[in-house]
Amino acid sequence: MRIIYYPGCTVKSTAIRYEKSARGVLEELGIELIEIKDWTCCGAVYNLPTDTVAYTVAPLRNLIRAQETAKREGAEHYILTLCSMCNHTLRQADLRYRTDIDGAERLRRYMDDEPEYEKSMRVIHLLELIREFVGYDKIREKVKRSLRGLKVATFYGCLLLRPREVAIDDPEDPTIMEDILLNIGAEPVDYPNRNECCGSYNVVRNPDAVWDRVKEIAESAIGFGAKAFVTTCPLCAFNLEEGQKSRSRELRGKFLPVFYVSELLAYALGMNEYIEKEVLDWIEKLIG
Amino acid sequence: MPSRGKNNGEKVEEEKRRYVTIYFMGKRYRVPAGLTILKALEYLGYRLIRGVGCRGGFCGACTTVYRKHGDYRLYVGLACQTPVEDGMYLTQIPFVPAEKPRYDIEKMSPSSSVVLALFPEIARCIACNTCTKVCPQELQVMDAIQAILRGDIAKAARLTFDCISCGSCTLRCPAEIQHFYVFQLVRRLYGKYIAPKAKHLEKRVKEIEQGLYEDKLNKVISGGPELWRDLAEKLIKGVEIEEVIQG
Repeated sequence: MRIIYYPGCTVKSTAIRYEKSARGVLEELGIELIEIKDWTCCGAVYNLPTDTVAYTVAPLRNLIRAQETAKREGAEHYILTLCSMCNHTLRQADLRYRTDIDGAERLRRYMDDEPEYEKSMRVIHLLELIREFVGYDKIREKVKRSLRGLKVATFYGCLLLRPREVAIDDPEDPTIMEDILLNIGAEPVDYPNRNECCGSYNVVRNPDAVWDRVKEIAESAIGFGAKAFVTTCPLCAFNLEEGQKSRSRELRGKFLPVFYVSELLAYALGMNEYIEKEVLDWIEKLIG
Repeated sequence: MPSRGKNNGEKVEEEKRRYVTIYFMGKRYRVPAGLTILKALEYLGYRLIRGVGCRGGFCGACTTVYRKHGDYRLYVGLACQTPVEDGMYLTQIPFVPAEKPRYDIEKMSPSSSVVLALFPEIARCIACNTCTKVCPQELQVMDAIQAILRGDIAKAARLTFDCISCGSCTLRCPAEIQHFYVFQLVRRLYGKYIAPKAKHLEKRVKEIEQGLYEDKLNKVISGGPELWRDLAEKLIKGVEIEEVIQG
C-alpha cells in the first residue's frame, strides 16, 4: 500500500525518534510512504470560531498538496500523520471544508493559487493505519521479541479523541493503543488518566499548571503498576517527561520513561537500528 | 478619387496599437506600447531619483505595485522589467521600511531558534501564501519561511537564492515578517555553516598569502605588450592559466 505522508514540524525536530521508528516499522509492515515535498505548518492549534477561516488556510493547503502528490504518484488518497496535533488539525480542516459550505467557498476563492480541494483525502493516524490496513494478526506474526508483560500506561491525551467527529476511536473508552500493545506482548494497565489533557501549550506560559497535571497522571499510572508511558503525541511526551522531572520530589524520585508506540513496535519486530540508543537501553532495562 | 492616406478610423486603430493608457498615481497618461514602466515614466517627464537602480532587474529598487483594468488582483513587478499594459493603475514604492538586526555570524548556528531569536515574527506565519503570489522573482517565499520554522536552513537558503530584496513580500505579509533580512541571514548561515568548504580556494589563498606567486606575477607585469599578447592568445586557445604562467 502506497500512501501520502505528512510529517509536521515536531517529528522532524524534537521528536525525530518517533518518525525514525515509525517509518522503519511501516516499511517492515509493507506500507510505502510518499512524503509531501512542500508541506507547511499544519496550523498547530485548530481555530474553533467558525466566523474566521484564515487559520484553515495552512491545513487546507497541506491537504491540497497531499491530493496533488497522490494523483501524481498514483498513490492511495490517504494522508498519514504521526503527531496527534497534526492529525487533529488536518482532520478538522477537512471536516470544515466538507460541512461549512460558505467557509469552503471563501477558502476556495482565497486559495485561487492552488488547485481545488476535491475532498478526496482521508487523514489517517498511525494507530488507525495499523488497525485498518496492517491488522493485528500481521503484527503478531512479525513479532521477534515479545515485550513479555511489560506494564505500560497508554496516554492518548486529548486531540486523538476529541471532538467525537474527528476521533480515531471511542472518545470515552479507547482501546486502539492497548490492542496494538497486547499483540506485541506488553501489558497495558487500566488507569483512569489515559485520556486526560497533558496541559498542552500551557507549558510555555504556565508550566507549573502542567507539571501539577503531569504529577497527578504519573502518580496514578505508577499506582496502577505501570513501568513506562506509551503515547503518540510529541507534546504529551514532552510534558510527561519534563513534568516528572520537575515534580521529582513529589513523585519520590520515581520516573516513567515515555515511549512512542512505534518504538515498542520496532523493538518487538527486532529492529534495533530504528530505536535511539537511550530508548533501547530503557526498554531492555525494563524487560530485564 | 482613391484615398492615398489612411482614413480616420484606421488612424485611430493604429494609434491604439502603438499607445496604451496608464494611470500613474491616479493621473491618466498615454504612453507608447512596449516601454517598460520605468521608461514610460521617464517618457512622461518624471525624473526618478529614488526607487530606481540597476535598470537590469537585479537590484530590486524599482518595486512597482499595480492593478489592471477589470482584475481585482494586486500585482507587483519591477518597473525596469515589466512592460506597460493598457489600463494599468500604477504606483512606485520608493523604499520598504524594515529593520536589519545586528548579529555576529561567527557566534551563531544554522537553526530555527537562532533565526527566531532575531526575527520572532516568523512564528506568526499562517501560510497564507500572499508573499509567494506577489514575488516578482517567482520564489516560493512562504515555503522558505516554513522551511526555517522546521529548522531546514539549507532549504530556505536554496529557495531564496534569487531574492533581490525588493521587499514586496514584506509589504504584503499579514504577519509583518521582514522577509528579505530573514533570507539574507539564512543564506549567510548556509554559507558559513552548511555549504561545503572550497578546500582548493583555501589552499590557493594561503599560497597567495605566502607570496608563492609574486615572482610569476612580476614577470608577467614586466613582460610588456609582447608577452601579454602571447599569454592572451594561449588563454583564448584554452591553455590553463597555470601552464601559461609556468611557461
